[in-house]
Amino acid sequence: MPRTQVQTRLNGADIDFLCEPRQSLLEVLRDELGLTGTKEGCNNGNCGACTVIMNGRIANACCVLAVEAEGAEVTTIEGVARGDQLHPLQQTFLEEAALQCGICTPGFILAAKALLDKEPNPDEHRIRYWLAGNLCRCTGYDKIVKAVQKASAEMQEAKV
Amino acid sequence: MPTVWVPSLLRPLCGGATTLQVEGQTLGEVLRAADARCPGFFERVVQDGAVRPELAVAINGQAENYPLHEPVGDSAEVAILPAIGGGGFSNFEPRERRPAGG
Amino acid sequence: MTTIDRTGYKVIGTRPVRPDGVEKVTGKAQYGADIRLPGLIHGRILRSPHAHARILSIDTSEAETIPGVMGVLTAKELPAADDAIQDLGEGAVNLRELSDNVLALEKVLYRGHAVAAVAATSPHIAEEALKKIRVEYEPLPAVLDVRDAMRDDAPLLKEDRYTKSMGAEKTDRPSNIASHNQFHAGDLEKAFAEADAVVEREFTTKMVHQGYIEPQTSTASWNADGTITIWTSTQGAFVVRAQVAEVLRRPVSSIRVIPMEIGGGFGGKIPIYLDPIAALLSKKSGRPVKITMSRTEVFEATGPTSGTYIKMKMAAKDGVITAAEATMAYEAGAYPGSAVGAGSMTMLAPYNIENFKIDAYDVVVNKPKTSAYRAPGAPAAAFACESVIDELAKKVNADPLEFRLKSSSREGTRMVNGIAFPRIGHEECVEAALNHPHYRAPIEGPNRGRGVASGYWFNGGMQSSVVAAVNPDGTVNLIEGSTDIGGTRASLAMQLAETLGIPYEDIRPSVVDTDSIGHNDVTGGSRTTFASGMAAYESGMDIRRQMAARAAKLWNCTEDEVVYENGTLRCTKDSTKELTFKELAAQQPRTGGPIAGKASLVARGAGGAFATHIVDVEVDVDTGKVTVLRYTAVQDVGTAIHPAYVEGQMQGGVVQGIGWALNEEYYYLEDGRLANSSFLDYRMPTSLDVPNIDTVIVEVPNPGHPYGVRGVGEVPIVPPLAAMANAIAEATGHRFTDLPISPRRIVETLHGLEE
Repeated sequence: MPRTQVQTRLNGADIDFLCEPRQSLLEVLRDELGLTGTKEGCNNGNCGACTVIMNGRIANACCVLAVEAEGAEVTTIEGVARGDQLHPLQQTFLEEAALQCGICTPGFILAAKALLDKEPNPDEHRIRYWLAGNLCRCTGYDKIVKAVQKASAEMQEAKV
Repeated sequence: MPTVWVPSLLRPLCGGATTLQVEGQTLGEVLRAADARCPGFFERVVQDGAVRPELAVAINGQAENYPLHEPVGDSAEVAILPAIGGGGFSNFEPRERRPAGG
Repeated sequence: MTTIDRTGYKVIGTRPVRPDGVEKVTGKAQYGADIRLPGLIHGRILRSPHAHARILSIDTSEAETIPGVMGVLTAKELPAADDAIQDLGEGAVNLRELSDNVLALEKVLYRGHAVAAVAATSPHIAEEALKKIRVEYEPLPAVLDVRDAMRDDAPLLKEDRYTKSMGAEKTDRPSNIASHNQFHAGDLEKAFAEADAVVEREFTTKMVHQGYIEPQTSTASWNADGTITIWTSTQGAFVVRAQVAEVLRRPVSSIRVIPMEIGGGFGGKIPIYLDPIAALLSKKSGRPVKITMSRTEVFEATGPTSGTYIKMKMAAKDGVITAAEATMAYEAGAYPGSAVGAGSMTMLAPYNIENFKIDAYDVVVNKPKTSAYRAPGAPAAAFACESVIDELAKKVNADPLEFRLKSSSREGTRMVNGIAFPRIGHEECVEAALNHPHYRAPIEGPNRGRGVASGYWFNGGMQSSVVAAVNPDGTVNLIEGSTDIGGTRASLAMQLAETLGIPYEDIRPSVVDTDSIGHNDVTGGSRTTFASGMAAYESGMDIRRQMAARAAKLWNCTEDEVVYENGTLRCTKDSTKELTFKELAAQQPRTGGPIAGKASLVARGAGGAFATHIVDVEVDVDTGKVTVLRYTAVQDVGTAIHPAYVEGQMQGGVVQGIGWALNEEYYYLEDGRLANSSFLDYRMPTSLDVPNIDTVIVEVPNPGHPYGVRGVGEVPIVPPLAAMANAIAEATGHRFTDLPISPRRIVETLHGLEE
């Protein structure tokens, strides 16, 4: 199958890649670009392990064709920390033990980041509602929610 | 003398007894002694020189993949149970390397 | 082995960040599917569309000619395994059956059973090539329900299987009942006749899946010298090695298994499915081959847990439980080996009951071979037992927790298998629950109810090996072989740090491959913090002894005169002689060379764990939706090494249990097709489906472990099924005895709509 060239802005850098039209963004991120932080859990949009932020909105990369990234702005887990400076969410996930096996963690961090970027002070229900598209089988969600709440509080304090 | 808890399905071999006091300093000796009282007991529990893989033996409450030469103390209790899947008592040992004799 | 006084701990009981944490929150951690190798090609597997059929022929000729295809495989190329049963980390597995499950030779026994495999330069080409493989089947009648499979006229999965009954074959006619076992004591008839109250019920549960988010994956390279390297996400690299060695008839030493990070297991990532296929395709193609399952394949072709049927009858007299009689039939799936044995032994464990009889049947059906799922066998057994106890308590007008307390097991109580409990903590759990603000809070409002339940799990010991090497800067490399599913690098590092009296941050744990450390049994069975922790402790004590010997030499005193305390060595006869761990570490080259402690052991003294849960629910009787209002999980953990990860195990197990109780099930169509093999319709809890899960850590230290550790990972999933059913019974006035208690079932039942 002939490959198409796609130009996109990935984690703040302008890049281009070649892909077949049938390849998903998830497949390209992992297999062509070597960015394996975005995970495949189900490949049909039901678990959120492949959550990325695309043009400001969260998306399941398995449900996005790679060619759709043309001209778009995409953030993956590899683009969340700034060098060795962890994002507050990454820090609170560690402090609050909000991960056990960690496979769902990149997806949750992207999803939670998108929420806090939009709504700095969500209540517990809002957090749970927003994150309902990300499945976790290990933690039972309790510590994930608490980590998001803690990050939200810290991010607000930092602004003051 | 060690005590053997007779599994329910083997009690008919033992005239209905639920426990047996038998002589023996190793697991193998204890099982043979039980066999002397309950003919057929040994081969229900042991196959090819080892406890059958679908069973586990607990000595004083510790269930493990004991070899037949495992020492058994004088007041020990020996129980025979189904091997469990999960939190299991058994480890994987290829057939060729299982001990011969008992 | 004595338990060290809890209050003196410096590291144990704190909540440090796990050593592998930064990699995991930045996406750098390498899970099985993340492996990238030069020349890597991709494998895909062709699976049976029939639930039961004979394979008449397989024609791979067209697939082999497709450009990009580099190897095709069928079962004919697997060395035939002996019909011999081997132990397998968690449970006994017949090796021929293991091989047959990897690739079916003569018959397919479930829809999704693997029949052929292709390796190609892209996964897309491999998938297209599968479509060109022609398989001729002769479909056979299938049996999908455990009770149907037990009938005399049921279609047989294996024409020459006879029911085994503790070492003997029981029946003279073949059967799908693979085995029968029984526990029996006392006089049931008398106890039932004299009882104040008797309750008898029948219960069913459906097959459910562990639901780990990471699908199975294995990458194999068959090297030019005949060795095989495997990269995989597994709960046990050594168990993978042993299974692959047996299936491929290769020496164990020729296989190196490199465990990658693992995205959840819960017992489902102990059996192998892909590794031998990847290895043989690598041999054929001369390239490393990666095979990753799709989510559909995970549902249809890995190892879910049994659907069950349990008939339960219990009696009470004078406020205590006096008799219990149970018939338990568990689906093993396509090959024998369900967890009915464990279920039969854990079912009555929280209680001291004099008269009991339990008949346990392991039954094959045309579904995937079941594997362990977190406390395998126990949740369904507790569902039955704790539901009946609830009704019994009601009948005798007792508070449900008080009733359980009155009959509780304690040290010395015998389990149904004759084993006497050592020091245990069920009473402490029930008392903590009774006194908890949740239990004392009133529950008000229509369609609301509260339920409680207890549960038990044995916890494993088994084998662990570690090496602890002291670095010149006073840090220690802890080399271990237990794959880290939920924070065990941290819990092991904490135990070693505590033993050496040095900071947690000075321990560098790494999980290594099968060439690099002695044998380690699986990360499962709630054994890792206990057994590998014990090995870490022993390796620390080994280091201390070596350091004391060197200090004695340096100070010209005897080893008896050297004391090791809080990371410092002292000579008792001369108080000026003192060296810290760090100082002596720096002097290794001049005092005899490198210091490394090691321990390889079979851990004995595992402590069983009890839990008691309380849940409040509200049921919407028009939609059938059950809202979990409040959940409190009380559990005896022995000693909480890292309380946050202990809490996490409790919370995770609870939520799996809630999903099992309310929504999860394998929904089979009549032709053996699984209708809901995706996360959309196999409905696991999301963050919106559950509230915060409050945890109460009870610590009754396990005398069998230097730090009092009990396994914690599995018992949390045991009580929730019954706790939810009991709460729903209170809320609706109806006792549901079939899981899942889904919205459809609630609406149909309460509105009289069932067929």
